Amino acid sequence: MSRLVARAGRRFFVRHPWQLALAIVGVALGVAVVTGVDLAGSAARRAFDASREAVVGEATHQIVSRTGLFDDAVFRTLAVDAGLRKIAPVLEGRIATEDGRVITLTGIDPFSEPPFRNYGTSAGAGGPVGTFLTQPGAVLATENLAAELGIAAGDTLRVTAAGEPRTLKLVGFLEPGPTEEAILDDYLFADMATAQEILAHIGSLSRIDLILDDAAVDAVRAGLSPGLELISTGVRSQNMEEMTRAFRVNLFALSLLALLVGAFLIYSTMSFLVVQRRNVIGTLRTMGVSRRQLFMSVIQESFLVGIPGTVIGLLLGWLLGHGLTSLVVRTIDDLYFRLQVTGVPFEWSIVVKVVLLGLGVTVAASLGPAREAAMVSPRTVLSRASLERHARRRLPGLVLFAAVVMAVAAVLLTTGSGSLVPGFAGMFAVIVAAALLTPPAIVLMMDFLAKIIGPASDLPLRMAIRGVTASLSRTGVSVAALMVAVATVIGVGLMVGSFRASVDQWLADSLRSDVYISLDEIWYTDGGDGDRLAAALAALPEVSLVSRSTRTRLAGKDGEIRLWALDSGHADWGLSLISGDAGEARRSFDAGRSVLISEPFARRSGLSVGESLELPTPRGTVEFPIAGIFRDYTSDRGVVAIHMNRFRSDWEERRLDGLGLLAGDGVDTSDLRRAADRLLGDARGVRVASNSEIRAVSLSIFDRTFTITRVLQVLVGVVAFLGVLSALQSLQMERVREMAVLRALGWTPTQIRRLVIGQTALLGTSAGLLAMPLGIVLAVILIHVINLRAFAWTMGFEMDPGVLAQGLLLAAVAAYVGGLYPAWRSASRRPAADLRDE
Amino acid sequence: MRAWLVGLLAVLVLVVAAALVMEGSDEAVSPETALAVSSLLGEGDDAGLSRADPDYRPVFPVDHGPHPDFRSEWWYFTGNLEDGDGRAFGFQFTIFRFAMDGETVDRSSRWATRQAWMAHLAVTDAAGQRFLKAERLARGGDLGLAGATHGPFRAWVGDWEMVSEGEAFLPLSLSADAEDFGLRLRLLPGRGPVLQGEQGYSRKGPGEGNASHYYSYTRLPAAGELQLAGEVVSVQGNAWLDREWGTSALGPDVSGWDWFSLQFDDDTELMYYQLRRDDGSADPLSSGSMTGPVLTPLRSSEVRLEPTRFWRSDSTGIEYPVAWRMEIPSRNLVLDVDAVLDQQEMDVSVNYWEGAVIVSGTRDGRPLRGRGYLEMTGYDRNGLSP
Repeated sequence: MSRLVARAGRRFFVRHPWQLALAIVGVALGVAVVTGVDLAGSAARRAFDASREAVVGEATHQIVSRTGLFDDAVFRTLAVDAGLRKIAPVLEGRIATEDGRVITLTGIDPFSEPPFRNYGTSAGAGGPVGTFLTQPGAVLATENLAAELGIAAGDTLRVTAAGEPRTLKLVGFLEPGPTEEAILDDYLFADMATAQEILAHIGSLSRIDLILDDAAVDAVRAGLSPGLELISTGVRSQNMEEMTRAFRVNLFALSLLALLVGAFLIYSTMSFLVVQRRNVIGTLRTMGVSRRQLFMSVIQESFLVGIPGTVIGLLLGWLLGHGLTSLVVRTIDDLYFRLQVTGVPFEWSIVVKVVLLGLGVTVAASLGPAREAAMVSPRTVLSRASLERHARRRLPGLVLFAAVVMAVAAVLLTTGSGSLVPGFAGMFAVIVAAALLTPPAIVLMMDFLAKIIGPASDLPLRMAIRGVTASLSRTGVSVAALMVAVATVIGVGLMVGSFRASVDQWLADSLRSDVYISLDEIWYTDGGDGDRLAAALAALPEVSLVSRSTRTRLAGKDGEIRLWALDSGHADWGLSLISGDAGEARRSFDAGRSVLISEPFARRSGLSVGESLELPTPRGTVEFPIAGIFRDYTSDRGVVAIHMNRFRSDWEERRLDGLGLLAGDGVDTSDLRRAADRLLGDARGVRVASNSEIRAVSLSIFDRTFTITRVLQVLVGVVAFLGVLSALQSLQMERVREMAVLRALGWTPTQIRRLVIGQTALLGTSAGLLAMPLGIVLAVILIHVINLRAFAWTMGFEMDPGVLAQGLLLAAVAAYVGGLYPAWRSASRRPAADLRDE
Repeated sequence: MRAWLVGLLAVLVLVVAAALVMEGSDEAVSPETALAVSSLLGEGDDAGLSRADPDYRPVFPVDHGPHPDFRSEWWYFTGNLEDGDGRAFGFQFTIFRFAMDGETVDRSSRWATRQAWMAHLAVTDAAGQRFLKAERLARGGDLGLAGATHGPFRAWVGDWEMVSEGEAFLPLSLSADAEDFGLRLRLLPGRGPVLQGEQGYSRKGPGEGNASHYYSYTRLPAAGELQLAGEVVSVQGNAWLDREWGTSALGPDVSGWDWFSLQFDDDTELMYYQLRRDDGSADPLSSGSMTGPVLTPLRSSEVRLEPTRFWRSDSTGIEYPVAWRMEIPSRNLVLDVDAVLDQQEMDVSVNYWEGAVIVSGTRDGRPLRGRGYLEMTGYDRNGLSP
């Protein structure tokens, strides 16, 4: 008997291949998006691990100076006097090739390296590898870098380091493993003596790597001079990890959203398959097929959809992963740190997870329809009206259930502040509640519409309206799916738009100078002097004021602190305070009595105005009162701002890396810029940009960052479109006989087409309308809960009617296009043949 | 004497030095790596390096210090010790220096150097069947991570050091701590310096200058303590120091050597090294000496040396003859030399067997007993069949 049931199921799919295909595509797309995002995240993570590996190696701890380089005698003390064995010195600096390529020169002691880093090497034709130590200027590079620089083993390379021309000689190649390779393509390795000489840092180290057991840590720490710090690499990589965590979590949430929409599709497809076969099921029931057998057969059928859907989804996801990886990496590149990815890894864990997710969601989505198939009695199953009555009877229950879910969502969203998981859970609960409310909402909307147009109007239109409500058991889930998808598109669109508007406003507020000059490492290695440049610029007649700034990183107790030293002179400082008295803050800040902290910093540290912040200085820890909290989108880690004078006196750092020029009265920005360009000549390591250029570049980086969001938005839209297509096709095909009756009653094919298209357009428009409030709610949740918790950035909510219209259009077009084919088919059928089947 | 080892060591240290390669300092360099790099190094460029001078006589205390212009050099301490209960221990503590280049270039960094330093430390616990070994590598240079001085004498690699207590070379203290063992010994004046070879000029291969300067302290009363995995043992006994420096290479058909330093309980000592040819026979340049009322040289023609027992290393698969019969008819001397523990293989950056031995035999028909050290190299090249 169960073979009969199974055969009945299979026959259905054979006779309706499109139905099966669309269901499979729905699952496949959902699975593909999750797979693609997961793979991209994992590729980025590997690149991240590899770069961490390249920086940290096997070291458990590092000794760094709070202020940069430190005396290499420390190494001798630790290696000889303290007898530490697993300890390796590192000196890093930037050098520039003749054509301006900037490379990191890393000085190491080969004798100390073995426990730490493990790159293979091979000698070039230029001589024995032993010359690496004994020959001044000897360096090792990866073959890739050598090829890029156009040098072979034994060749010399002219570079500029510390402002002096130097000649390096490639004496051999590094042969790192594939994961490190891409990272090392930016490095030249030299013996410590060579590095100190080339970089003109005789007697200095950047850091010391150590492998220490717990017992040794305190002894080593106690023996360090005050300017030095022993930090655990765990903390350090944790910092790097935290930086990208929020980003990755958001990405994953988007992929889950895609799967959720996919799940709605699957549910609607599966339930439709049941609804459509009520005749067959009823017949089977009268033949004595048990409820259990029917239930199981629907579940089995779900595998027919789930398995091919998941497999195709995995393949698509693999391709998608490659595309998304570059987007993810570019974002991390733009926002956090240099990252290079060699390839998308194939990971079994992802495959297993996705297979379970794909099949699990498919099976879970068919549980309801399966139960439905099993529950109804043989007699009523044959009556179509009973089904619709049943569906309508359930509406009050749906509303009640939705209210409960909404209450849960409210609790999740308002409590557990700071944590992302309840935030996401709350957002999903809101979506589910909205989906539950969709069928009752449609009934209300259609009843309302029917009243408005009155009985006098066009018959096909009235029939279409009635048809939507009458086929609620089938349309409800499809409309909910479409609604969720469109709401996602709207919500994410509004969030990105609001964020962009806030960033734009913030850029306008903070970019107070007309022309900006940035000075990088090259400028300083070429022997540049920031203060002299500032003075020379101030002397230009076109310039009314020069502001100066420096960004640096301090090793704080709980991780890295970004310090931003600035001196805006008497001009507007361009900081918009969200807490603290602006006038008072400015006075104490300018006097060097206090610091300002950025909004993410305040949120992370829990500090507020009036409290004090401890910062490490070369003379020890110093407490700074906090005078204000300012809005800042430059870093989600947070920034501490301090006046340049106080910074210079406490940290003894003279370097400047940014100068802002304010044009004098009546001076045009382009004239100011030309004057600055003339003064700078062709000096290297200096970039000049106008206010508007910086703004444009910043916004383009912002847009690049959200490219991946938009890509996922489109994918969600495609999933929704296919779902609607599938649901509407099925709906209309089921009504073939109904249409035949209408034709027999004298309806023209045009009227039939209008009826079908009218009905699908109504469905789409309702979904679009219902998606608007949900989309707005989602945007608010994304802005005020998710992004605030993830990045600690507040932003204003910007209502963009364009985004809403776009969503409505998407829904309507999806439904309209989805109805075209059924409309054409219904109209062109021969009614006699369809009626004969009856 | 250990010229071949020196050559190999120099090559290997260059590997270590020039590369970021090694898989951890306690592990052996894979043969492929060593081979590849040694072939790249070719014959080894001796340009600018000094060679041993047959007319030179060691001058003290200056020659206790380093000779940076020679390719290689070492301070090689070995010894047999006992605790209060007569439990026997052996130790080896050696500091090697290798010049990577003959040319001195004027450089400004204190890290700049053409000297590579390596130290080996081993303790044999015969009763406990334990052989503990460790290695340290460091660069030379003015920063002082490793080096040696003569006035007063000090040689060090990291915190492992050999240092004279005062202006005089002796007494001298040795101290070195590895992760799970270490030693601290004080050595008192005994017998030496003994000039080996021809007044301290020891030929290692064909041609003039293919030799090293070589002197020994054949008996240095030693006392101190050993740390063995948390246990501290007070010990005393006799140490032996070999000092060599030179720029030399073994003859083309010599594959390695077997080197004996034996201290007899009649207060005499014997040193003999057999330069072993590929066919297992002794090269005519093999030589040695015996102390006594006068120092007498030993020529290869006087010495018959036969392995009597073999042991195969589990970790390297190399088979070493760990027991020997040495017969010197011209001195009426018959000796059986046997390892106190078979497993005394130094498989660190380079493989060799260096271990404490016990000696029994007869001189002029009267029983003779003693202790000593045996070093064997080159057994990984041609598997010697028993």
